[in-house]
Formats: sequence, structure tokens, C-alpha cells
Amino acid sequence: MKRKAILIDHNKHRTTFIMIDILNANEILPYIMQDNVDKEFREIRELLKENLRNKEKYKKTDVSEKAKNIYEMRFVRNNRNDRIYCQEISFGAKRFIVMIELFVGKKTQNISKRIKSRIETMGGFEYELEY
Amino acid sequence: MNSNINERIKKDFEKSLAFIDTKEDLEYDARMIMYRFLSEIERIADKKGLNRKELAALIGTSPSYLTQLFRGNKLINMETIAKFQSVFNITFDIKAISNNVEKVSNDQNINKLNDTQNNIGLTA
Repeated sequence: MKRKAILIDHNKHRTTFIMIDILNANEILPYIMQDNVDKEFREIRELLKENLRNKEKYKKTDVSEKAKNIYEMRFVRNNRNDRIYCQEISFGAKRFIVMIELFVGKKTQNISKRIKSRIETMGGFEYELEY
Repeated sequence: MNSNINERIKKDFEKSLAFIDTKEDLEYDARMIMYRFLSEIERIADKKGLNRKELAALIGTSPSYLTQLFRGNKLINMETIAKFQSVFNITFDIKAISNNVEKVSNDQNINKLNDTQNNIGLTA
């Protein structure tokens, strides 16, 4: 069954759409609205909308072929090391970034088997996009 | 349940668009200006296959300093931008665009977005 994602922001040309997985919105939204995290999220959102590169903020997870469409938003200020995993979907010139799952307190640069498996599962999610 | 979530998403989204304060806005703008320069640097570095360490060595700085810039913990200075221009033999092309045109467009988009949200999940 397809999962649902709804729109939270887009760029002025309506080519980049930032969306959220409705099943995990309850967990992700309070996190990104926290003091300090909200400022980092505001920056990431703008980077995405302007199509700017910055691997310290947003990068491909590159764990395997199964998860080739999975990227991570990185929250690292104030000794945080948190991630929001996202799926990127392209339709022609339109780019949809679906925030799927929050992962708090990543300990090392390496990805554990458990997280790798989770990321690969996310890579297989299919979305019904409401935008 | 969905309509409750959608209502909260709408509320939080509006909150995230809210004006913070002048000082925070200026700091945010300063970082965004820096990120536009850094994005171009990253594109060139990727194209040339340079990692962070090699990029830092090219301009005579440390990889951790570059990480601090990309994370927005520090602001870049003009001399560092000049060094990047020199080592890559490039010139950053700067132009000013009126924000008034932008403002109208953003307002229209926010209205459109609200309409869209009203028409989709928010009424579900």
C-alpha cells in the first residue's frame, strides 16, 4: 500500500517540493520546531529550495543500490548528531523530497546494520504525494 | 486522525515561516549568502574529485575549518573566497535582484499553498 506524504513547502518556481510522511509527522514535526533545530531546518529547507549543494546539511546516504533514492538531512549544531531520512522522487523537472523518519543521536560516522536495513526499507516506500 | 495531523502541520508550517527577530534574520541571511558561495565550491570540488582534505590543502587551511563553514558554525571571509577563486581560476558572478518582485511571488505562493492545503489533506 502506498504511504501518504503532504506538502509543507516549495520553491517559488514550484520545481522543488518539501513533503512529510504523514505517518511519521507526529515525531518529525515537534523535533524540527525545537529551538535551534528550527534554525537548522530553516537553512536546510532553503538550501533545497535553491538547489544548493552542502553535504554537511543534506547528502545521499549511499548505503546500497536499494536505498539509492534516500538522502539525509543532518542536524549537528549544539552537539547534536541527528538525521531525518528522506526519499527523493523526480517527475520530469519536479523534485519531491519526502521527510520519512527521524533518527536521533547518531553515535559514529559508520552506519550500523540495523540503520542500513531501515534505510533500505525506506528506499522501497512508494508514495502518494498530495501537493 | 489525519485531519488532526494536517491541522498541526499547517500550524507548525505557519510558525516556521514566522519572523524571528532582526538579529537572527541577519545571521540567517549571512549564512545563506555563504552557502551560495560554498555550493559552487562543492560543485567544482565534486567535479574535480576533490575530498574535503584536498580542498582544504589547496587553499592552505584545515579540513575542520571547511567543515565549520559548511555547517554554518563560522562565516567565511572574503580572503577565503578570493583563495577559492584563485585556485580554481574562477570568478564569482554577483548580481542584485529586487526583493519586491520576490515578495509578491512568495506571498502568492503562500496563498496558493494554503489553498492547496485546504483543498487536500486539511479538509480530509
